[in-house]
Amino acid sequence: MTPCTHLSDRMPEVALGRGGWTLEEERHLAGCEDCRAEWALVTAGGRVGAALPTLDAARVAAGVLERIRHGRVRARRKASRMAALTGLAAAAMVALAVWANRGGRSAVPAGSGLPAPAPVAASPSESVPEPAPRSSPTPSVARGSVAPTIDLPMPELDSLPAEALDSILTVLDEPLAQVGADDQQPDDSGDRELEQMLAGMEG
Amino acid sequence: MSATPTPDPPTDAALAAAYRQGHQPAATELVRRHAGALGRFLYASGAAAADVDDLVQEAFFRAFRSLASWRAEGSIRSWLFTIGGNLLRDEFRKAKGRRMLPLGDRDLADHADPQGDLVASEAEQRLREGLARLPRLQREVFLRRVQQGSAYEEIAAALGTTPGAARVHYHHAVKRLKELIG
Repeated sequence: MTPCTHLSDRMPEVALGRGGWTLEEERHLAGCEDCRAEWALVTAGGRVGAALPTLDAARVAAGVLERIRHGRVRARRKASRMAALTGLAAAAMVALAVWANRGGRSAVPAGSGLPAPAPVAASPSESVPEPAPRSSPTPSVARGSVAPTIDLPMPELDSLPAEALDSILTVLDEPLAQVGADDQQPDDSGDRELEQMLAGMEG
Repeated sequence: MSATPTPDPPTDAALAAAYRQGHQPAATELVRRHAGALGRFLYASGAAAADVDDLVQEAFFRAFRSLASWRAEGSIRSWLFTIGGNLLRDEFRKAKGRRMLPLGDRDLADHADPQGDLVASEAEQRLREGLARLPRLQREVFLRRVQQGSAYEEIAAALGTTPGAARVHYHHAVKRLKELIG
């Protein structure tokens, strides 16, 4: 190790007051320009920031601890929210699974504009409310509210091919006005046809 | 009449353990021991004087939040310097190239020898400008050496390098600073 390297290694220690130069080191320092320049840098570097105002340790610590407390409270709240959301999601999954197992499927697509299907009486003695007329859908349906659904067993549909089922669903999805556009309504009948109908009814 | 022996002050490791067990005055004592040195390190590394307080608080916040990860074989001050250095690097990245703010009047020392302090302050400013132009590793090794007197082994452990490489960084820093300032 050269005297310059040795002196360089000792400089921080001496600059921070943790030791002193030996006579030999002092002599080298006095005669070596490079070492003197480095010594000036080391002493100046050690002093950088010495004029900064003293930090209030109690205030800094209080601020830090307060932030940590806040962080813990926030973390707890977040964990509670996550637990609640997880619970809700699990409940929704269970409900969905139960619904799927029952084979439930809405008979009328929501928002299709069709009135809700009439509830089917379990026995002939039960009264069945009048279905809403087709030409005047109930206001609730017209506003797009979800119609109450009911499971209707329709075994006749089971034998239909997929294309036929698709066309039925397409018709169900069409607006009412379009569905009945080609049907001949009594209002459109001619006078002669009306007379024939009346004659038929009167016998 | 014999003097009552004063008990040794608790070590940093003991204070850290006490804080982990919920003893908050231990945290205050750790801040009291290291905040000043950390502030000077951050300032010398290029932080504006007005930002030092906030940066020190942020560094301690991060340190206390992850105190469990502190390996007690290294000094807590060295660990704080590493956190502070990372924090400052993030700040520099956010500021996109703003590395130093010019010192204002409030940064000048208010001592009995204003002329001498002014000269010292000018030298200090030049040194800060020189330090700001060094690569990060060179700057950190130099400051850890001259401000803390840390051994190359400790610096190398803190910065994830070897003692030999830390020594080389230090000598490169000295050489460049001589060129920039001298």
